[in-house]
Amino acid sequence: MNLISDIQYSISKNGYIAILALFIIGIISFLGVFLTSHTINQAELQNREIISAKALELSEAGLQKAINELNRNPLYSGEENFSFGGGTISISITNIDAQNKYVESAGTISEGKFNITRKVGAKVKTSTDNVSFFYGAQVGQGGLIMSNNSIVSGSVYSNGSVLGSAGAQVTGDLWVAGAGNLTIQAQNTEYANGLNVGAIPFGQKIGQEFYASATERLAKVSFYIKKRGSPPNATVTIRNSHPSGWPIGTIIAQGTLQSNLVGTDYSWVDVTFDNNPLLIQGTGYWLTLEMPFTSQSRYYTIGFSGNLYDEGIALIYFPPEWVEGDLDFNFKVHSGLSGQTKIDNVIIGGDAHAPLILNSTISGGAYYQTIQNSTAGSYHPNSPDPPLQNFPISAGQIQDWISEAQSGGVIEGDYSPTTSISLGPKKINGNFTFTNNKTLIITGTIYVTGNINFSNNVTILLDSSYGNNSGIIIADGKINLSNGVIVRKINDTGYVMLISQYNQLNDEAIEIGNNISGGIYFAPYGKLKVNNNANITEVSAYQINLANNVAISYEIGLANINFSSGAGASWQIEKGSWSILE
Amino acid sequence: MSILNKKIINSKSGFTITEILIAIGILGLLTILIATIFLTQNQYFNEQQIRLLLESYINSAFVSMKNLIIESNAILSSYNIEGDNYLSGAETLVLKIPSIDTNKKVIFGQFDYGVIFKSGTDLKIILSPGSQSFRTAQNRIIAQEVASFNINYNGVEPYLAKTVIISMTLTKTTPNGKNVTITRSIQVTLRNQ
Repeated sequence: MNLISDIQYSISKNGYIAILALFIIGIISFLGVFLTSHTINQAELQNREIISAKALELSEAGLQKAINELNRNPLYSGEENFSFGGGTISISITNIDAQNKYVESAGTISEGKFNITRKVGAKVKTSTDNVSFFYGAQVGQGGLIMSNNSIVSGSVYSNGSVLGSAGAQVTGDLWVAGAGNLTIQAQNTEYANGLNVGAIPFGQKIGQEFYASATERLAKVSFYIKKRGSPPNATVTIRNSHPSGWPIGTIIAQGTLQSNLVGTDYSWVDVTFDNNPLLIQGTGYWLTLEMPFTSQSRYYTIGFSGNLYDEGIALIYFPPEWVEGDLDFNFKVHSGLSGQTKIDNVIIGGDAHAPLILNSTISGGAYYQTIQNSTAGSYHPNSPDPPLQNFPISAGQIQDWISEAQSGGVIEGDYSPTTSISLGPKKINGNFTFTNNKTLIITGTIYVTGNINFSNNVTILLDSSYGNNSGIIIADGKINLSNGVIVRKINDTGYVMLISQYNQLNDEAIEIGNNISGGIYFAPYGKLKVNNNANITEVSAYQINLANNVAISYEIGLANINFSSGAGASWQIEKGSWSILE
Repeated sequence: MSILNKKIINSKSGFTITEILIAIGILGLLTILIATIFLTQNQYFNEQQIRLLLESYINSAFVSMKNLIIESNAILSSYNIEGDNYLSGAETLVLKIPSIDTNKKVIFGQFDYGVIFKSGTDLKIILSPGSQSFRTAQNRIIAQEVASFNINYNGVEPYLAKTVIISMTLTKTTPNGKNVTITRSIQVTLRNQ
């Protein structure tokens, strides 16, 4: 057969093209099916991942809900399978102790053939505010007056004179700061806006130049400042001027802006220094505030005005240089005259530190500029004056506590319960009177806009939900305790603190009457008077007057007290406790 | 047998050369057409298969990384694991992770340490658990064919970062010499920071 007839024959056969086509279509179809199935598998896997991620988000939402519920009701114990965000959430809460719980939150999403549950868990705790009372009595510039046989068992720090009488005794150390009669050397109190210090991307340091208006000793500085989160303590320096014009001259005094004294709203916060250098009239100095690091969530905001302080400029540090801001920060520089304060007629079990010591018996060392008619274990003339000391609680902190109290609702008008009660967190818009053998159980911070009167054998104590933490009662008016009021603490460290914000330096803000026992008392802007036979734990006030036979018994635990808002406290996740359980 | 076939078989006249050449031409064109479709389909198949492979690498790598980062409480500037010192930077992430117990709850005060880093074209995870941790030690490759791997710390030093953005590009060449590249990013927040 020749070629032409071969082709003729082949072509004449049925189905050749069809077989070829079917073969190729078969291969293509196989590849297509393989790829499609692979793609479907991958898509399912991705879909599964997306649903899993959604379920995780849902479990996170459950955790946040648990915290919100706990903040409304500390007895909230969780709930099962409630619908939320296209899925269901189950929350379970286990009590660890009064201040700690463990929350588990499971989020489930059902979509198509998938039913995926993810679970997260975290420890939650109530927020507390740490305060350190290092002295049995801490006194402002009004000074301490001790009548016959009054005793402070512990140490005393006073920014004003301590005037004793027969048998008045401080069993620990007694410090009296040197700089009295404070005046403001330089200030700018006009607020226009705030600058973040220590916040990314703003500066880590700021500087404010000022000129001394008199030759006096530096006492303290104040900043108009607030905080976000819990920033670290910041360093404050006073520096000599430098030829560069930058605040990099010699440090003449250094102090610490304590984070716990700064509130979440603006307030004036004092910073005291390790020494009190002499500021020379007409000389320029720099005040600097420096953070140890920058953060997105933990920083300070300091108030500033436009260029209103004519005496100096303000600089902000943008590494590597200081840049002049068209502003002046809100600051005050306080100074005082040395040698204005003294210790007079006190028996001191420890050391005595004061510019002038008169008529006293000191078992330890006497540190002074001048001493008269006194005996001491050892004598240290020409000792530097003790610096001013801040109160351990600031206005900003008190403001935060007031906000916590207000979150629990308001009682309008004067409040005089006729039976024993549990109370707090609560604001009372009026006076709070509580008398005659009843018991007040504090379940959260109490804020009274008027006066507080507790009398005739009432007992004030903390609810057990406070655990080892302490609780607070705040009054804008006066606080008066009389006739056998007992302020009981719970456990070893659960104290009740009563604060009066009454602002009259020459009037009694807190008066503690006969036979009162227990409690911590704080009156930063007024007098605190303790009458006969009271036996209390700690007092701090602008001026303190201890009557005959009063005993103040400092306890070691006071150096580290955690104040809680109690049952109404805000719950939050403890850092580092969050984990994926499922 | 059809009438047409009988005609062809019985016909003595046959096809003209022109008819046969036309038939061969049509057959050739048809073959070229089918071969082209086949080759294109094969190339597309290879590409898609590689793309899927890279997607699966990247997805699995993101899941592994996310699980570790989300539970971390800090990014460390550096950490030494078994004699090798790792520094957090653009291609290395050093993590401090609270240890967990058998119920996967955090053991307070104990930590595991993990490193995610690019080594050649591999992305690796090393996990060194604390003595009581329930996490198992890891030293494994979580993605291959990694052309680029970048960790963005939101403009802060690594140890200050609370959120990281991780971008990855994976590239693989098909047998036909074509590069398949995919790039993905993920943002993860350190839940315990």
